[in-house]
Amino acid sequence: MSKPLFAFAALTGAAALAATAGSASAHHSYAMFDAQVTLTVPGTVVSWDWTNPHSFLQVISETGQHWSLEAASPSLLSRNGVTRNTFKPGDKVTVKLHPRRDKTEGGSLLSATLTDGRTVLFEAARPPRPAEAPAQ
Amino acid sequence: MRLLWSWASGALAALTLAGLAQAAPAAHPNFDGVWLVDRRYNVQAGTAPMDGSPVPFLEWTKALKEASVKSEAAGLPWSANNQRCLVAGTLRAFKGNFPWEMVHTDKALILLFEEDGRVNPIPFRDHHKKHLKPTWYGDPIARWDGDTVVVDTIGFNEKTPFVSSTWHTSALHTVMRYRLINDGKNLEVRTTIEDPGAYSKPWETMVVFNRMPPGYKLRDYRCIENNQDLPPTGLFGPE
Repeated sequence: MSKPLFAFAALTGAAALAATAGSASAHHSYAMFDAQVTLTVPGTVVSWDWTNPHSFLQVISETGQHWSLEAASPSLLSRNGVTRNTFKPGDKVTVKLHPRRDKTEGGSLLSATLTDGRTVLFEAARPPRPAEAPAQ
Repeated sequence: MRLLWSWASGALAALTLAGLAQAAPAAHPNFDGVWLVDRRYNVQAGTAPMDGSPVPFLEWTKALKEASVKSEAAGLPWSANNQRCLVAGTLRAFKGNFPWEMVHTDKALILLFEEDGRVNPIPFRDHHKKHLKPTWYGDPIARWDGDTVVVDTIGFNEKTPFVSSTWHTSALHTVMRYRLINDGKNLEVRTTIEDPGAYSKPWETMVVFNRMPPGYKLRDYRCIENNQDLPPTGLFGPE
């Protein structure tokens, strides 16, 4: 069998989980969200829309704002333990998000913490952009 | 008689072994499996030459790329095909978070993409079709070169950028070389991109995939189901 061009670290399922943990970048550019800003919003779940290409968590904040928070597709989320039943209308949650640049009440969902203490993670740390092509 | 039989059976055995030795094809690696882009290549794949040099754009492709980079920096990214639920083309479809599966038969490699359940069959054939009409995936043909499968493709339409705003013409010719590395744990695909209508010289890019564990299956993904991200910008900039 051919030798690899360069040594890989152990390429375990950890890489696969990181890749499927829910980045929005599969469907469209992430530039529509402000990745330099993270908002924390406590509120109540209106609905958990389990759809392609993105699932949406709809949350009413304590100040009455309706946030539409985008997550990955069901095919990707389900590999990370998220299901169509993870949230129900009426659940109290505290969400973290990168807001939309156009200032509408929407964003990329990073995490949601429920009152039982569980935190559901949606956005693995995005990989650093390589500064140059990998070494040969 | 016994001596004659002994001689004949020995001769027959020798001939049979010789025939089998000649007829037996060289063993080739098998690429069956589900693959997912290694995260280190998720951004780079298909977008940059592997030798670190800049993409050899012609003036018009460079201008498009620069305009799209500027628009993205301003928070108005140009849409890639998959944002519009269109066919992304093989290079783009390899990138991203969705796994894909290779079904390897002696007649063809069949690429199955989780993203919209798309299929790209690549027959083992020594010639392209005559009278090609441009299509989304072009006319790919495969052959062996040692342990490497070489896929030669022409006949692309002009609707599939590699990633947003890296365009090509219908003169595009790609040569993709698939080989297993790291004891079969990874699949390396090197692609030579040649298009005198879009680039000043051929350039080569590379992407590496991780083999997914046994039992890892493709799941259901249908972009058109609830696409709320149709952008205000078109494929070539603001509409």
